[in-house]
Amino acid sequence: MLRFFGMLCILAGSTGIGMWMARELDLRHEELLELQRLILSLRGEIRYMHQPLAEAFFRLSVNAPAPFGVFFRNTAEELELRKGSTAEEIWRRNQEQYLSGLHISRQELAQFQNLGNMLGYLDVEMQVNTLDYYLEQLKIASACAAETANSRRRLYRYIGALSGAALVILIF
Amino acid sequence: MRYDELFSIFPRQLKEIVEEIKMDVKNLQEIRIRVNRPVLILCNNREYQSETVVGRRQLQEILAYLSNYSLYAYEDEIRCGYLSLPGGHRVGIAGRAVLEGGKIKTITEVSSLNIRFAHEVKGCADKLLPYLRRDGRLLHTLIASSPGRGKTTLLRDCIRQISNGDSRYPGMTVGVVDERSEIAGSFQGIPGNDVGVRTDVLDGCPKSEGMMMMIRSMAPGVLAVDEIGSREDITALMSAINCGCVLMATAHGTSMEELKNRPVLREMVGLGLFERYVFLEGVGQIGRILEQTGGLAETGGPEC
Repeated sequence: MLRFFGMLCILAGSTGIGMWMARELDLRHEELLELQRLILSLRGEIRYMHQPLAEAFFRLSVNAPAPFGVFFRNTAEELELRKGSTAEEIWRRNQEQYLSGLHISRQELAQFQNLGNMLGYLDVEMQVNTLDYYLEQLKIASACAAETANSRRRLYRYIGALSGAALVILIF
Repeated sequence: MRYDELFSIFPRQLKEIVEEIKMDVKNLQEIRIRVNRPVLILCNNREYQSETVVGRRQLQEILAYLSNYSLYAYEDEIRCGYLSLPGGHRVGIAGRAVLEGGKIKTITEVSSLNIRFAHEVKGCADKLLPYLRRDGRLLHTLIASSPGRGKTTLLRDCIRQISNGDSRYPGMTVGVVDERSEIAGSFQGIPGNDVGVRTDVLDGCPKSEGMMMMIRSMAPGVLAVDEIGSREDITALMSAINCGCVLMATAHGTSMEELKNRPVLREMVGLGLFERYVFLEGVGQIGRILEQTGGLAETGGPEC
């Protein structure tokens, strides 16, 4: 009975790991899609409303899911408070605090940080160009994430279950 | 002006420079920052000079900070050479103008900033208001002086008192077309200065268009605008008068002769648009108050 219970635990654990890894791939794709939606909204706020960054971030935060909502709200509040930090410092600090747990890759996080360094300067046209450039990067990353998720999702699940089965055979 | 309010709009570098000079910040009037030059601070009509010299990068950082890292949001203002700050303060900008199709697209390579602080002086119009009425009727008024003498401050207090009313005269609905956000000091649409309980503010809107919009939408009894002087302004002012609005405006000029020497203002004087001309002498000091004909004006009864 105990042996059977142990086998079940190993099988469930390894299958769970496989499922979790497959879910990670999906989450990365979902986060990139959410970022695309938010950046498109930001583009609209800047392009058509000429909203200052703090106001635009605050509006984004209202409908953004966690952790993006908290990130944009805190960044907006800090920008509004004008405590002496630069916009890049505020963006970077909040990114590290609220977005470090995201499932997107390091390169994608670095691209997001670069966006923060470039926001706020020059004219609306330049801002829109910067956002368009970042949106293009997001599109590529998102397509890549979708492809990776599709090709590996089933693989991770099978590997999880099969490695569990193999381990059970080896042990028992 | 409160100390914390003032310092909240300053970047770190500027805070340090202002703190380095011991002075009463309540009376701060102007800060002039030029690349590779010391900062000049005008406080209580006295000029102070900082020991620190501001570099180009520092100046750009100051400008970015003053715009709350959203320079693009002030594109139209920058094109006109200034930037509005919360509280009605204003930053004048000089640098290299970028032209496109013969028109100024933006100002780049900014080399000078002039931060002008708005001062709300409640009661400064007390002595003036009795002169602005005849038989109880408010007269079309033009307040004129050279820059930095307090025209806008005086206009703001006139607006506040006319809007609130008093025991003798009931309050009137006042429409303010605040193209440069200097009168009401609006930030995110909410007036930062006290402009009275019956005052509607159209913020950041060009005067000529704004006056017509205000008349159509808010039916003001009094229409107030700052720094008139363009040809379009005349048409809008005449329309406002024909709609039954009382005009209160400011313009640059130290005397009637000087007003008549300026093409558009000469036309306004000639058309008799204004019934009272108020000239300021010195900072915040009301000088001559003239009638439409150019004679000295008399009071129309005690105001308060």
